[in-house]
Amino acid sequence: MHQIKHKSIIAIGIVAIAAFAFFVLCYQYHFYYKEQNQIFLLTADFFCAYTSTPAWLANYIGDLLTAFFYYRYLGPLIVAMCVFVLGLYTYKTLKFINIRHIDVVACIVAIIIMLLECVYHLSVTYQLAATIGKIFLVATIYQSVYWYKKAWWSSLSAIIIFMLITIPYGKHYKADIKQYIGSVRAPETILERDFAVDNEYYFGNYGRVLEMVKHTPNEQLTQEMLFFYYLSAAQMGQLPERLLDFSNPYLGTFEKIGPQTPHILINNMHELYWFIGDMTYAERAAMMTHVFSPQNRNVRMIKRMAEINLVTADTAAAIKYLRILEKTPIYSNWAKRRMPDAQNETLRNQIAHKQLYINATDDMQYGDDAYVILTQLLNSNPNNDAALNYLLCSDLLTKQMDTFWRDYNNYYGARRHRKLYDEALCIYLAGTEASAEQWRQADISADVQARFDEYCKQRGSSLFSDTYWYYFDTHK
Amino acid sequence: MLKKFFGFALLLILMTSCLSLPDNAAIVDSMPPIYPDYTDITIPQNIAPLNFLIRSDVDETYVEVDGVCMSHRRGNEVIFEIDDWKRFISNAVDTTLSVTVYTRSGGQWLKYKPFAWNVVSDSIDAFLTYRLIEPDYEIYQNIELRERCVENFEERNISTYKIVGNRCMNCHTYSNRDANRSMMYVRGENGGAILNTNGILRKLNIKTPEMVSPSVYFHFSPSGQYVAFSSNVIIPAFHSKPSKRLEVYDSKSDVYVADVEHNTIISSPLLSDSTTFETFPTFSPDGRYVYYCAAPLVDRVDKLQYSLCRIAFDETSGAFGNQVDTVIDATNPAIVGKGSVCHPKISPDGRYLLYTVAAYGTFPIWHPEADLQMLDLQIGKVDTLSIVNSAKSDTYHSWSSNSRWFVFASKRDDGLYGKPYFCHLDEQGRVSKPFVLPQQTPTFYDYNLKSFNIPELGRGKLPFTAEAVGRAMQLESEAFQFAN
Repeated sequence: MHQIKHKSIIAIGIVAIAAFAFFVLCYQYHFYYKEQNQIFLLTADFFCAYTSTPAWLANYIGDLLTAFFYYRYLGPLIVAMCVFVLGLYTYKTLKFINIRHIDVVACIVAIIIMLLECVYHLSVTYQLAATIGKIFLVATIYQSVYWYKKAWWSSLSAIIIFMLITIPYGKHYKADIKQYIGSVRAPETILERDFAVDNEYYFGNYGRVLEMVKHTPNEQLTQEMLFFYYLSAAQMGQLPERLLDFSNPYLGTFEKIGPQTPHILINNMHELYWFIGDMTYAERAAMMTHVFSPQNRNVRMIKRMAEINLVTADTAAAIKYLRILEKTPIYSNWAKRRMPDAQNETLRNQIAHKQLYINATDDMQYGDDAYVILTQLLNSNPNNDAALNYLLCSDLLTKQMDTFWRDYNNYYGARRHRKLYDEALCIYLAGTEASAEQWRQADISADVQARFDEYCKQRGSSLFSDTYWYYFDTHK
Repeated sequence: MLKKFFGFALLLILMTSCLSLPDNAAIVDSMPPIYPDYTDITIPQNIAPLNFLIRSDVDETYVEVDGVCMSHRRGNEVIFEIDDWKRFISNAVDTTLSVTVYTRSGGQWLKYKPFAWNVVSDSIDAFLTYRLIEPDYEIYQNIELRERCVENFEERNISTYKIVGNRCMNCHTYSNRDANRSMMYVRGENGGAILNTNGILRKLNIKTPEMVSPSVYFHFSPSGQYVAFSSNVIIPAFHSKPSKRLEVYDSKSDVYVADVEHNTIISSPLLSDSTTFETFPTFSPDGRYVYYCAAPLVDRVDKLQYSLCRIAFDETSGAFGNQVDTVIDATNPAIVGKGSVCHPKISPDGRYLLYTVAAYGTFPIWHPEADLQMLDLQIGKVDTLSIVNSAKSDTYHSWSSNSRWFVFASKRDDGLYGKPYFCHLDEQGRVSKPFVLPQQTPTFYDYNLKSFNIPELGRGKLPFTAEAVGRAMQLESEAFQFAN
């Protein structure tokens, strides 16, 4: 009997280990997303605020543990451990039933419940609080049965109290109950890849983003993956060189954010605006992401808004956000280091560097028109390479050669020549039947010119698929 | 509630155990670093406890009010027990209390310079309604309209996304600060104006095909029968300079009056002139005039300068007068000093007209330079309210019934999140330093991520619930048509 019991517990443990391995290998970036889409504060007020909501204890513990999903592998570990505890309690509770082979039956049921719980966690909206609530529920049943013979009323009161603090109730919380139950669905593999590139970019692993996207099959590429691919390339100063790496380049510059925009797209845009230096739109995009996050809470956006306000020297607003972050279990030191009177020289230099690129003049904008945003930034600071490359690459993607020529002449100055831009210049000059003097002034490299001559003889040939000419001629 | 009580009780026991007394405190020649800033203010006798926190690392606080210990706690929070507070304040009406803050860090007590609380017998209206929304007003998610009793810390939803769905909801406005007559907007599909009359809710569609939009800014006549409102096409825009952020302006706007008893709309060609923007209508307390703001059409938003105008209105016949008077001319910098007049609100006694001035436009909440000004309607003098205003936006004001208090939304703390501030006005029209709506937990505003939008004072508790609003949303909208 003891042998069967040990085997059952080992089986439950193996399922938990397998769940951990699966989440680490295939699903770890979902955990970052969940961590970022909440704010957890270690304050008495915050705790008290939970006590007036349904299932407050389960939610509090669940959200607290979710905050630690920030650390790589800790999310999968926490979920696997919770699933293990759930399985163990289920097994122990079922063992109270006095039938033949109950040990085996209990083990099988426990494993099914564990597997179901793991499947529920495949959904991006499924909260750890739901698992915690279920653990409480099963543990309560277990203890109640255990205590039943001693005093029935104590077990009944235990059930009621635990139900009240762990299970959502109330007529206006239908959505909460739905989330609590969970749903069976296939793994969101594409979304996982989207989260992967987003988060590797967030952690500054730009090379890794490039590798991940490069190795993604074409049919699985999403706008999000391409967006972060090009953003990472731009961070590494390689945007023009990598623009044509994919047949459908996507920079994000033509997106308009509004209430109808998909959440995942809104999530990304603040990174672009932050990178090119438009703090008005970076703040707007961060605020929107924050607003559209569950419970209007998003710790990553709070961080971003703190950073934005540090750059714009809106100290009071920055402190507002830093004070909030100071009370989080994860970002407390991050926030303390950024408090205006605690910043070290490196940080001050980083902020000062970012400040060089923000808009110095004030113009009114009636929507997120990337062209206007980028040219405003360049007018404020012609040295803004990030804005310049996004501007020229956006011109090229829309094949607006006149616009490209104008922007190139207005802003490119004496920067080193880039193959992509030289190729585009060839098209413009050839298209406008430019004089030899104009060709000479364009100072296009001899290699590019020679290859352009070749291309003109074999127009549309895939031998030139790495060139802008090929893109220009073949891309619809 | 029970859970909250036990939580607080436990915290209280933990925090008050082993407290020491501030013997041999070192004197500090400065005000204590408290937040919210409740130093040297005038307060109504019926205000909730002014809990605050010390903005420094302290182990213990000890607060004396007129020599009596009113709070003694571990940590940096100063919280007054509400019954003690009520008793103390009611005995101190029309006197000035001296508040002394002691703090302990390690073994050393510090005694800061005392500050004053001037308790006045002028009560403030006990209820405050507001909308909680993220500061980026162009979008919304999970909006709630709430009612707070300013005499204690009770707060409730009067409309919530949890019941009416994720819709835009606009300001709640009382008729003459009377809880038995009020209106608010719940927009979106099958939305409308929810009119409350003694707790009975009606859903109104205050719009005709000729109007550019349903009513936006509105205000009741003294009788409650009429609602002056503006119909606006509102455009959001963004400043490239990050410090200026958002701009919102009208591309069209007209003013009308709706008779909510007969479901008719009264118009005047003087208020729907296609060459002029008319907006922010408000009735005078005697009901004889509709005050509003008007600006000529211009080609640039930063040239939009609104003047304050008024037109006669006869409540008996429901008809406008034939002449528009300009009360404050936006082109006269000597009078306004800033440019554009917004949100005129007249005190219930008819003596003062409070308004916002901004450099330009109609959305002062995003204009850091937006300030309140007050026109004495008896002598025509403008008070720039320098004690009241801050370096950030101060606007969205509302009077208390006795004309001795007004509330307004100010972004003075961080420039982003509006908070309701109260300001006293004495019989001579002198204003006092404003103070923010007190909260049960002093750190509330630090961690709050919603703006308090359009705070409105009311005398009584609203006689309807958020559930009733949800049911009212299921009603057919009552249509309106132009009066003959």
